[in-house]
Amino acid sequence: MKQRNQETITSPKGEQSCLHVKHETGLDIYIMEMPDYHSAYALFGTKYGSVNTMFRLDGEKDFAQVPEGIAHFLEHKLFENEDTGAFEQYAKTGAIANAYTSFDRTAYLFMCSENFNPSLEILLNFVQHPYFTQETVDKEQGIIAQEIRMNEDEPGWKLFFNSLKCMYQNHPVRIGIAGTVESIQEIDADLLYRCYHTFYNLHNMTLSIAGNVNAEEILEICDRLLLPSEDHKLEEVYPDEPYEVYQHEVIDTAPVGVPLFSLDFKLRPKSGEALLRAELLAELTMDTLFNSSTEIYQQMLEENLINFGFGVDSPFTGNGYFSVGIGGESRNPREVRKRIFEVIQNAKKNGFDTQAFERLRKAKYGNMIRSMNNVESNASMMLDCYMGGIRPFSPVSVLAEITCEEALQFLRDEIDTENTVLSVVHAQGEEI
Amino acid sequence: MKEFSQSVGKGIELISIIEPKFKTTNISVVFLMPCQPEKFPAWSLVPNLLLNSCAKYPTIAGMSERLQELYGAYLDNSISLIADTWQMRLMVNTIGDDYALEGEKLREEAGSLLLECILHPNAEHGNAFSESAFRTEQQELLDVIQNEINNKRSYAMKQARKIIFENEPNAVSLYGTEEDVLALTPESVYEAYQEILQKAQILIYYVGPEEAPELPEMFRNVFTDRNVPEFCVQSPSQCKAEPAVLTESMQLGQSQLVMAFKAEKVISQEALRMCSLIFGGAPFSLLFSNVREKMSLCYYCSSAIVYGKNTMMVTSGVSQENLEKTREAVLAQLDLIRRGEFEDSLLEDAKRYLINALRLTGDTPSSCSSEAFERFLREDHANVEERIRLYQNLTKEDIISTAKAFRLDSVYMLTQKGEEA
Repeated sequence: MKQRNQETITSPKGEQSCLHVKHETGLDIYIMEMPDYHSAYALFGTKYGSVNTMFRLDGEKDFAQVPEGIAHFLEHKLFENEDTGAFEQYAKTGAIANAYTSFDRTAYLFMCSENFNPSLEILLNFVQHPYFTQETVDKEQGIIAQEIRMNEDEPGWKLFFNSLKCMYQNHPVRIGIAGTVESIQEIDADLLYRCYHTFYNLHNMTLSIAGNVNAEEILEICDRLLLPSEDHKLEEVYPDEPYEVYQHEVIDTAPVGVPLFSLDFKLRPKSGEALLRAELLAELTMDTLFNSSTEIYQQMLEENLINFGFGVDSPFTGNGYFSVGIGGESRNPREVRKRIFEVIQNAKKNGFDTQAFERLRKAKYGNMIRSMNNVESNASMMLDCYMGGIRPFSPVSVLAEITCEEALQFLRDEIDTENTVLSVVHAQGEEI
Repeated sequence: MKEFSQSVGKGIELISIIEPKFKTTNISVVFLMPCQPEKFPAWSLVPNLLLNSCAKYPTIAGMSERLQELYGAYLDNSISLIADTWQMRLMVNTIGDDYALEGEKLREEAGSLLLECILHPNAEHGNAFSESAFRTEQQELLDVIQNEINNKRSYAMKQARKIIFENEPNAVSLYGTEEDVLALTPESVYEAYQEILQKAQILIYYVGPEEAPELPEMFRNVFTDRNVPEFCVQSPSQCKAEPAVLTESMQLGQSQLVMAFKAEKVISQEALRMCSLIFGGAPFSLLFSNVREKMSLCYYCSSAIVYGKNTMMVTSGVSQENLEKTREAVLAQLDLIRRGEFEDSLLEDAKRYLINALRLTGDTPSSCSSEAFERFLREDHANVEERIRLYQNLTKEDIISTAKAFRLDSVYMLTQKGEEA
């Protein structure tokens, strides 16, 4: 058997384990064998999303600035190569394939119950062999323009991006993932190749696989198909982002029923294990104060200020940005904001319900166990951990460590009612 | 995986699916009623009234606390139509007992809680749901109805169903209108629930890592004095002589197109699904590869079947100026299938895709109970492997004859305001 740079990582109570291999090409490979399952799920991802707009490689003097939406455009185009598209190839194995681009990553994926190895070969091949021509780039612009318009008609999307534009003054997280109908017109084949060669370097990528698979067979395929890759020492820059939000309120209209709102707290960005800890603290703290068993929730529901859509969102985090939001539907979102601020101020002064905190920690643990039930969520968890710079299963250990006192301190130090954005989308002609 | 069925009352089966690999426990109770569209609004209030509080936990806060204590267990529900049959599913999910940190018996606790909700709701005077719980849920349902406009694709499909299934239960919203909901009372909804308890066909599913010996006793004879009428899950919809066309407009960036095709003969589920898949159900289908990829007309253009109605629906989001072109392109793709002008390999690809998807069954608790439920619905009760054989036996001629049986029935367009097509 080939000697490899590898280790087995196990969850704190031994429920699950995975293999991490640092491949000689620079690629981080995570494999979770789940032999009792029929299915397998594979993700091939790069740390390249919509926020990566300014970068340079080792030896380059100037930073390149690229049009908005190019990471997403690249994702669309990578499915085509000179002879045949990736979807046509997957059709010969039966795998269900897709891809997605977010703020900080792009991932190509497939799920299957048979023919895993040939499907993996398709995945590794098409992602490593780009083929763009101006003609195929032009053709894609029409499709992506429709995707952008579809998103713009989605009120939740509008609510979210309006809020980001107000929270962040300079950081590119304020830009839509797919760009704009105008910005994608600036994209050409040369730019796509440049971005591809910068970010689709195996030192900047991961392969995450879970399910009914054989690690040795996977690694043999990787040895055969992964292309040698030199670490270009990618350097990215982000504009300076002040602590303060840019604007405290944004109100927009769209065809909607009950007005949608989101109250977002801008927090100081963090990374790695510190970010993981802060994410869990932010979520548990806000949940302790506003979950459906709290007095404030009951009161606002009885007064018809909120409905069952009210709740704390998962923290929104990445390189240089961190926020936590509370949202839902309300006919009087400013009053909801006032009540939320009162509860936070009171908790900062008097502390909060420790029993509620422990109940919610228990519930969060239950959710983590629940997600281990599933091939797809295990593969996604390993990819998330790579992207976040942490070890698989770290969230379970950190959750067990944090205390109610730490959460209260987090609330006092980090949750700032002066640094929020209220985003509202309501129907035209309606008073807010 | 082991599956077995036990009778827990007259005509009521508890189906247990034991799968040691799972780390969770799922218990669901399915109620099936023959459609009575005038009762839809009352019926749609029932599941939330049952699960958001109960006699033992009469407030939302109390119920939430209880669920948090059970390691974030959740009570979930869904209502839907299966052809002309109304379905309500009530479900509890919790992590397996092996993962409880203090040895709690979570499966038993979760099962008891679900049963508590069903048998001892938050009611007053024995004939009405609690007034305050009712008011909260009534307002919630009113909000849900108002919010139907938020998602343009699903809104377009809902509006399209009004013309596609005109004068049939499927044309009616499961929630009713705001006026219908305002006319409800705690008494009328309680009465509607009593009718469900008395007349619904009931199925109970348990999916978990180990056998649950307490469940049969827990559910035995809890549903009594019942009078279950016949219900039907195949109710083909008649194709109109001329296609109905409806256009609405709204403040939008993108128009929505919905086209419905109906078969003029009864077609097997397998032929119907395979034909729809080749037409527009996957990234290698004709709608994706031609209408999206070659013609660049849209981001999505896909087809799906409506179970038990012999109906295939195509949905697409397109710019206003391309509505007509897209409509023609969709018809042209169906014509290609009718004329047999598609590669034999496309049928083989579609078979592989469907078989691959079918064999994923069994890897999630919900797919286990859904598969068992589908077997119950089918006249032949075919299991996954038997269904795979049915798919494998389909020929190109079967697909051509299926496509030929379909005629355009309805077209719905949601257009940008001021620019009606």
